[in-house]
Parts: sequence; C-alpha cells; structure tokens
Amino acid sequence: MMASAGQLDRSRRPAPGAAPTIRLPRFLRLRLANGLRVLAVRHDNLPEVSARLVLPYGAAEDPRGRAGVALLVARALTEGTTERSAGEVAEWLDLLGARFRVDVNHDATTLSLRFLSHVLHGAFELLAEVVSRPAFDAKEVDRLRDERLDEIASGLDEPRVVASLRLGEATFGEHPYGVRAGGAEETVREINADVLSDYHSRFYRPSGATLILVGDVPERDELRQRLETVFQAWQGDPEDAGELAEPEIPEARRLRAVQWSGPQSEIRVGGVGISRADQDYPAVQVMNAILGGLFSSRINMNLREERGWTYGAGSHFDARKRRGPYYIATAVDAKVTVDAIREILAEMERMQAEPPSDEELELAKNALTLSLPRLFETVGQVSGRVAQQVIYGLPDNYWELYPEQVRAVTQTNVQLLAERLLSTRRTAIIVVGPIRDFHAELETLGPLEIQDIHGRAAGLLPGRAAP
Amino acid sequence: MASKRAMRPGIVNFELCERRLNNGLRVIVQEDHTTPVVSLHIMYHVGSKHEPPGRTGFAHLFEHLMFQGSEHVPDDAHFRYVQDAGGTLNGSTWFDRTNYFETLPSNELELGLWLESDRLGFFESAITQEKLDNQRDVVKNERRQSYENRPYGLAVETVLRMAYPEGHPYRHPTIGYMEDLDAASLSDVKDFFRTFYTPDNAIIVLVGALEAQRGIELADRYFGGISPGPGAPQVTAPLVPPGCEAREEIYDNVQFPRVYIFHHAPAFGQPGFEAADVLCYLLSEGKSSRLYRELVYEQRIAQDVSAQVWPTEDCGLSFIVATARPGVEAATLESAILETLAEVHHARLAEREAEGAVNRALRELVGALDGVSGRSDAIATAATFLDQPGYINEIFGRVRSVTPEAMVQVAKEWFVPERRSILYVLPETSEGDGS
Repeated sequence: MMASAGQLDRSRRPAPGAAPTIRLPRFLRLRLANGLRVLAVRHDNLPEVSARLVLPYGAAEDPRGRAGVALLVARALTEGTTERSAGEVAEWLDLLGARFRVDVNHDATTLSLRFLSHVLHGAFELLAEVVSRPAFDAKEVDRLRDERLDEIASGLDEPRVVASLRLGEATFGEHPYGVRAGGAEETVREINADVLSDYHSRFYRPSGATLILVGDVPERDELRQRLETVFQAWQGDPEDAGELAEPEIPEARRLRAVQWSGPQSEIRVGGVGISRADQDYPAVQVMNAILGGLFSSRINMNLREERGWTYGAGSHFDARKRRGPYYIATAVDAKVTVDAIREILAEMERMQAEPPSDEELELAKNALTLSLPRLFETVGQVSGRVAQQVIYGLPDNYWELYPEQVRAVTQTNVQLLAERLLSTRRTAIIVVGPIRDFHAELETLGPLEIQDIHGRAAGLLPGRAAP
Repeated sequence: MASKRAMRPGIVNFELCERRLNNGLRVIVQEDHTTPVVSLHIMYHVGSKHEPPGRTGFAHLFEHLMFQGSEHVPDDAHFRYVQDAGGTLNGSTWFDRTNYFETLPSNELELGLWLESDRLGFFESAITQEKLDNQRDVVKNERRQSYENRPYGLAVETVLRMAYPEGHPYRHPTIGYMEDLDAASLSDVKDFFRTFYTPDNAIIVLVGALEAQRGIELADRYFGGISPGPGAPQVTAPLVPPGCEAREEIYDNVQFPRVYIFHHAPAFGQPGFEAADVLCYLLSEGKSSRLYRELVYEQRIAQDVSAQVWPTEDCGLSFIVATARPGVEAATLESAILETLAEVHHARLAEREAEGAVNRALRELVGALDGVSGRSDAIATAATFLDQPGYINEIFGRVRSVTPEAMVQVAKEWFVPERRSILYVLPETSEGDGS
C-alpha cells in the first residue's frame, strides 16, 4: 500500500516542489468619524483576535530630561479611568480573559490586546475606555514610577542589560536614542501624574492613530458600527511632535569596560546604522544575514561552531525613524574575551575587504525571501508586521515587492555597504566581565575607559558599586 | 461566516490522522491549509531523567550533536539547508523528552524529512571526537550564559535538589553539571544513540499545508527503512511521598531577595493538572489575580510574582516565585504568599474570579495552538506523555470545566506544607559570618 516509487536517493537534498503562493494580509480599511484609521485582516482559523492600537509617538517625544514618560503613560492607561478604579479595570480585563501589553520604543507606542473572539465587544469597549479616558490618579502614577525604578535597578543585576545600556550611550551620546525607551533612574525619578496627563493630551489622539485587528473579526458594517459606538467620545488632533535630529556618526573608536565578576564576558560592538526609510534597507538585511543575522552566518560559525567560545553570537540592525543602532552581541568564556573581540573586528573588516561568495549571497537572499510564508502565519505575527508597516509608512504592497528588492542586491552593494557602516575605527566596544583579569590586553584595542554599572567613570578596585 | 464568532472556544477541533510504521515510528498528521507552511516535529522519548549517574546534561549535549551532520548531510549543513529553504528550526531537551522541529514552506516538507531521517538512520558514521569537544564547549558556555552568569540562575537546580531525593530521576537540571559534561565520551554518545534514538522510541508530527495521506506515505518513504531498536528502557520518575517542608537559602550576585515556594504537583494531563494550571492563572496572571493584587498592588512588597505548573510526564512541580522590592525581607514575601494560599484553602473562590482564570487559560491555550509549530509540539507531547494525541482537543473542555471547587480541592491536596519546599535567594552582600 505504501508508496515506494523508486529507490530513495539520500545523497542529495530532495528537490523542492513548486513554490507556494505567499498569503499576504488583505486589508479592510475604515476611517472612523473621529479620524481613527482601522486596518482589519480576517484570519479566522481560530476564534481569537490580535488587536494593536498604534500611535506614531513614543520615547522620542519624552519631555527633555524626562525619558520614560511615554512608557509610563502607556502603563498608566489600565490603572484607572474616569469611570473605573485600577482594581476595577484589572477585574474587567481579567474576566474577559484578555491580555493587554504595551510596547513603547523611540518611534511609536503600540497597545496590544489579545482575546478570544466571543468577548470582542467587551474588549473593544475596554480598549476605547483606557485609551481615551485614563484617570492618571497621582497615587497610582507614583506607584508605577516606583515600579519602573525597581525594574531599572533590577536590570543592573544582569550583565547583558548593563552591556546594552552602556552601548546605547557610547553610540548615541546625548541624542535621545542614547537612553533606552523607558528612561533611566535620574529621568524617571521626577515623573508625576501631571507630566503623564500632559503627554497623553498632546499625543493620544484618534487622528494619526491606527487600530489593527487581525483574526476572527466581524464584517465591515458590523465592525464599523461597533467601533464608531465605542470610540465616538475620543476626539482631537495630536500636537506637532517636532523633528527628531539624525544621530551623529562618531569619529573615533570608543572602548568601555565594566568590571563584573563572572565566568563570561558580555561583548557588544556597534555603531550608528540606518533608518527604516533608507533605500539600502534590503541590502543591509542581506549584509547582516551574511555577517551575523543567521545561525549559519560568519560570526556565529566562527565564534561558536569553530571555536566553541560562546553559546551564540549575532549581529542586528535596528532600523528606526532616524538612523538606529547596529550591534554585534555575544557572551563568551571570559578567558577568551579579547580574542573574541579581535575575531569580531576581523569579521567586520572582512566584510569590507572582499565581496561575499555566491553561496553566502544566495543563502542570505533565500533566508530573507523564502521565509515570508511563515512570517505571516499567526494572528500575532500578522498584526505585528502590519504595525511595522503603519509605523514606518510602508506601502500596502511592501511585502509583495520586498523579494524583488532583495533579489536585486549584488556582491558589490554588500561590500560598499559594509564600508559605509561597519568601520571598526568608528565603532564602540563594550565589555562587561572580569576585566581585572585582562585589562592590559584589552588596552591593546584602544584607549580604555573603565565604568561602573551605571556608566560612571570608575577604577578597577574590588567591590561592587552600590546601585 | 458571520456566525463564526458566536463559536465558543470549547469546540476548537483539530482532526488528526495517525499511522504506526512497521519499525514502530508513530506518524501523526494534522492538515491545515490556512498558510503554505508545514511544521515537522520529531519527539524522542528520552530526556534528562534517562541519564546515567555521572552524566548529567548528556541528553542535552546529545541534542547539540544531532545538528552536526550525518552521513549524507555535511557537518555544518543542517542549519544551512533549512535556512536556505526559508525555514526555521531548533531542538530542546526536557526531563522526559528531546524534540527537534522545523517550520518550512510547504513545498520543502521532504527536505525536513530527509534531514530528520538521515540523523536518525545515519548518525553514527558522522560523529567525531572533534564535534563532541566543540559542542561540549558550546554547552558549557550555554550553562555559563543562561545559568551561572544570570541573576537567580542557579535557583532552579537548587530547587530540584530539594524537591527530589537522592537518586530521583528529576533531581538534576537538563543543562547538567560541568564535571559531568567534561566526562562525556564518544562511546557514551554512541551508546546513548543506539539505546534511545530508535524509530520505536519516537513520534513524528506533521502539521500544516499537506495532505494527510501523502504525509504518512512520505514519512514511510524516508523513515520506513530504519531498523527498530532493541526497545528503549523507560524511566518513571516516582511520586515523592509527602514529607517535611524543606527550606534552604543560597546567595547570589543580586540586589533583591527572591523567594521560591514550590510544591509537588499533578503530572501533565493527569487528574488535577488542569485545575492546578488554572489555579496558577487565578493566583498570578493578570492584575486582579490574588498574589499580584496582594503582593505587588496592595502591600507593595514584591516587584513581581508568578505561579506555574511544569508539564512533566511524571511527578510534577509547581512554582510560586516572587522578587522583593528594595528593603523588603524574603520572610515577608513568604508569609504573604502562604497567607494567600491559606485563603484559597479556606475560602470559597468567587465564581467570577474562577471564570476569569479559565478565560485567561483558554486564551493562552488558543494562542499556543495558533501556529503550526506550537500545535505540533502540543500533539507530540500529548502522544509521548499520555499516548493520547487527541488530548489537544480534549484540553479545551477540561480547562473550561475547571470549577472553583476543583481549584480549592487541588490546593488542599497539593499546595500543602507536606509537599512544599522553600528557597530564598539572597544578595551576597547580606551573607552573614556563617559559610
């Protein structure tokens, strides 16, 4: 009965069948009377909905010296409204079984609500109420601020967090990208309810905002009627946010290290990368895939699969509204810290010195384009991708055109981009590890600045800095 | 179409098609043509509980070696083939099982079958001392990165030593201990492979855009010729009898004390498991949950609190974990948690509170089964642990029917001092003059 059509040839990879058609989201577009845009995608294999309300304002709009406001505004939404106390909102959300999450980065605020579709009406009411009528009660806001301060303090127990924070400062200096979205201890400490309320009234406005709904959502007429009803009291236009400057690209290498007693060193090597609107975005994705974006990339194969120095190493380009960071991140056996940095720098230089091989280029392009079907599978994936399109103003057919753009990238493009972006002379290098054991060797890489976990100048004396 | 939304979550149903091949390999297919992808998931019934003494961490180290090539797949090609096809892949090791899985575009199903069958049927000729040494170093760095150099990272292995007696199969962590990783030899690798990596000790699950019959035929084409093994020895981790409450303190490079209160619990899918799971939602998921409201919101003594039950095949474990706010003692957290548990024991739970916990558990369940990868994992787990792949359809009903009384009952049976251990992780700076 079983098929045995021909002897199985194991010596080569089986040929793929005909390429499937990618199922890209088909949008239903609405604009409500108050100006709120709605993008709905029916995706109804399971009875659930992923909703994301995207506001094109985030940490970049934090008041000067008050980094963290945008995050705390978003967190405060569910801590009481004009109609309900914090406890009552929590009970409502939890009875619906819905999950509310906020994601605040420098470019945008995304409020996500995940729920089973039989509670759709209640979920819409809740979302509209918390977005448009938060109370910003002083007692609740002070508690949220204290919780954020605790969270910042706890992060300093993690060497990987310390390394990322120090890299942000070394890369962007005084530019708002130099402080993480969510702020630092000194910027969060002074935040109060008035500051949150002010941010909310300036930026939480329906015109300019987009509600993305993916999953088992109602048909157009029913959807419009429901949304008009719950959102009608939310009105107004946002203020002009002002222009965020492009970050400066540093001229010199910065080498900073934080003493940390542990068996490994956290290493970050990075700099200023590209904006999301950069026409080289697809080519940067190709270059990154070759350098450190894939398991089979140069950096991971070198540091992990050849040398066994780490559990993993990779490179990342975080393209934002302005030129965002790129960074190479790994945690290595402390004994090989300086050797590992040398290998990373050598891989960055090799990208500039010679073009990638045909095989490397083809692998990168295939990984970026043939993966698209699985990146539009679950409701959460689809709503997340649509949110990116909204935040960065990408056209509806962006993902249809993307494979062609990737396919067009040449070896020369990759090499020229590497020259433009991966300068090891202008890069920042951060080490968080037992540097007392190897600081002399580290100094061969450049002038070394020793910092404490907070980023303040420090010496190499024993003793853990007080938080 | 319009009436679809009236559907209650209880009637989600996945049709499963199953066949056992002549060599004992069990093949299960669930068709889903929504997206042109396919998940291939192979689960071997071997995990850290099967490790011989002195070889902790071996099942996981072995998992790493399975990515280092086989007779027809070059050494560093496994990842490359899958990524070159646009797929994603990984593997993981648990107490009771090891799994390997890839999600591929639907036209590349055979690539996945070729790779998985080659490392089951043609592994031994490709393994070398050099590969073992390299991956041993990688795994030791994994242990350093994910456990030793992470705050509170050594708590769980301490918990296991407290919760399970000497010689118990669940007493050690899957990552293993450094000295045992050092001791692993090439002959250990071959013995382990021959003993446990056999078709009759595995289940393969295919979920996605494929026809069920064709999936079974292809599985037979690629795996059917692989010989069955001598029968892998099965290990049952025995239930730990109720005893005295155990307590311990350890010190770590952290600023804030953290308290772990754990209880033995029903195993995955066994009576009381769903009630314990929903009880964990009631205790800590959402801001109206009892522990969150009490510790984080009202008393403001904790930064975070969570409760969960581990999905183990045998004698299970549940965790309640809370981290202190600045200036708060571990003992303060402990008494607040135990008081909350006592309220569950003594008070009837409100209907609405229980309904919300059920709704949250159902939401997470549906979310976990949304993608083909999560669904194939759930099917493979149910088939391996319970011999009942259809459990993934039953579980909706089981979760929905968890009542307040069932949660009180599971709390009274399991969340009690005789089944409890308590671990404090304290800042090193607070370490006293004792050693």
